[in-house]
Amino acid sequence: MPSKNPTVAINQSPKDPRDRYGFRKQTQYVTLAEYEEWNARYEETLDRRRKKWEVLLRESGLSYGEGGPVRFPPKSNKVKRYIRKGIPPEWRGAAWFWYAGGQKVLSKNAGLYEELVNKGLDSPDSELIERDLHRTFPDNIKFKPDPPPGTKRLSKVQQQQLETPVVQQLRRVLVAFSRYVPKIGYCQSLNFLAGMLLLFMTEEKAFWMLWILTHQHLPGTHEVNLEGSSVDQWVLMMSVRESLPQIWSKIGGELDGSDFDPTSTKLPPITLCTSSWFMSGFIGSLPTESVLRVWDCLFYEGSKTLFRIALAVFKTGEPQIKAVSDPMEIFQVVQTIPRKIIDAGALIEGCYRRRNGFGHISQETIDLRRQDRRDTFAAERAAIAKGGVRASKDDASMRTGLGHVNNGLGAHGGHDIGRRFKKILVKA
Amino acid sequence: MAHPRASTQSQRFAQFKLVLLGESAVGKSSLVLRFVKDQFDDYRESTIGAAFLTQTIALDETTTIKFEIWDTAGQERYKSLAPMYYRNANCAVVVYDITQASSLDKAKAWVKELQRQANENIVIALAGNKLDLASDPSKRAVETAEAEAYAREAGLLFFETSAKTAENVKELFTAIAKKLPLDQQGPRGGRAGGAGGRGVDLKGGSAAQQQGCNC
Repeated sequence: MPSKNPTVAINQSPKDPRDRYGFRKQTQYVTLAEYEEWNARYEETLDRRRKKWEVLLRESGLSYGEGGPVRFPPKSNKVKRYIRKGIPPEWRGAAWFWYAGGQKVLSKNAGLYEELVNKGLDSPDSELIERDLHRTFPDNIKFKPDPPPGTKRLSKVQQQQLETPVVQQLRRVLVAFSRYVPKIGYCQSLNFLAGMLLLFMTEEKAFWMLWILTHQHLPGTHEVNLEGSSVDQWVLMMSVRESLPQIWSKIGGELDGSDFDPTSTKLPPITLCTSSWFMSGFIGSLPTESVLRVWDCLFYEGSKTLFRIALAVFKTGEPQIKAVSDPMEIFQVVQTIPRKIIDAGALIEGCYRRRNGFGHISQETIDLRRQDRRDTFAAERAAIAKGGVRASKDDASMRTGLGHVNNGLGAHGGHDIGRRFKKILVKA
Repeated sequence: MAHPRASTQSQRFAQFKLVLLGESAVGKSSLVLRFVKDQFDDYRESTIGAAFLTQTIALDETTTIKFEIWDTAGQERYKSLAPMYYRNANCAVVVYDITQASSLDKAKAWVKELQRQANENIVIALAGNKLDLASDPSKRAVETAEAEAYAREAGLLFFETSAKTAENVKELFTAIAKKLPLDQQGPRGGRAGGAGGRGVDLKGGSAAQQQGCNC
């Protein structure tokens, strides 16, 4: 099993069509010129921040050799500030692993990953995994290298024979994970989470970070019924409703233009766009560097980061959202806003600035809301099991706790929860 | 654009919601990409959740149709989200891969669900994608006649398509547009959930659908 940490290029040439992680600089939403314009300034910031981090490590009595640091300073307000300003790209993997508690999980389960891999590559989800392996970051050179100049088009079989090491690692991580966590198995979007981790750390560490992500940061999100995803989307919607009422008035409504009913537990249709933000940790929604800056905060500060960033994304797009007049247009607008947020620094600053920022959204609030929502689903399941809820066209979505759900569950109605949370917020 | 006949005829504009369903990796996103942007990537990232796209086509000199398209993730566990997409859909494209027999079974299950749960008048098209791969006959796993017979029986439009070569992609969406009830009027922006769509007759004529297309 390869154990070397992957490397991240410190400097890249402006002529290189790929960024320091191997992704194409140009996307459908960001032109090469836009990328270079932003990156020229960002390189300077990176240099400055790297020096600051070096001082911080020295002051903390920690070493950083050629392989970079393995240990990082204990959490403090200063370290938090440094994290929010960005971890040096080449140290990222180690810092994520350190602050997310990867070492603890790995030590407790020493050898387990290797055992799982040695059992072979069979899994009930193998077919699903194979289907997605070559659909994971095809725009990254480490996943899909440029064909040598002058080569003719390769057949699919030939291309698969040319599988890169990282694709093989991805297969092993996803298969091992699907067997180790059967209640999740393989869920589309895990390919992107694992693939991104593999760009920054060894496959064993990536495996355990995937475990941490799917259990601590995104609990239940990827499980077969996707209930955790629905829970988090509802929590997010409540946060938008309170923190960004003007945006809420544009996104919270039904497709027919009717208003959100606060006594209903139904999710607004806009969650069809926003659920992928969380499922894939903003990969594919935000540009790469912005995703990585979000992950810096996520692994240090916890899952509240996802909600804070989602609110900051909405805030970034406020002018476009307010300008929407057609209820269907809102989907395209909301889908496009994050994809253009190339200025990672501005996103993070906007998220945490004192006035009109979202740093006040506490983990306690998020956790309480998640629990309340889970209770709602549990109550619903109990009611359905008793046959207490009328079967309707929506029963398929009710069974899984997703989509349109009738609320007839008394104490756990959305309105009550809304009131309770207002109290919590005031307290905080 | 300003065709002389068009200026004297009534002009129509209609918007319809379309949902794409089908097993993962059959080419749903690729079909949409070909239809909306006339592009194709050999390797397309898997769709997480869903993507929303629009495309406007001129059905004939007097009729413009805007499709509002929900492209959905194909994995089984995302299935529970589907009602949110098809609840108000006027039309659906159910996609299978002609080289994967099991994907047709999945498509049939989607058709069944749509016919049971979606709008009564939903127009459903069955698309057998990856037709380009049929140039190697050993790769084909679903015979055209078999799928066609099923589609006829279930009352579906049917096309074998290739997002890669563009074969039949435009034809597929045009056929759907032609089958949609343009005459059923509704106020623009008043998104009534019915299957009638939001056909808007800008000048009040009603014979427009009969010209320019032999459906």
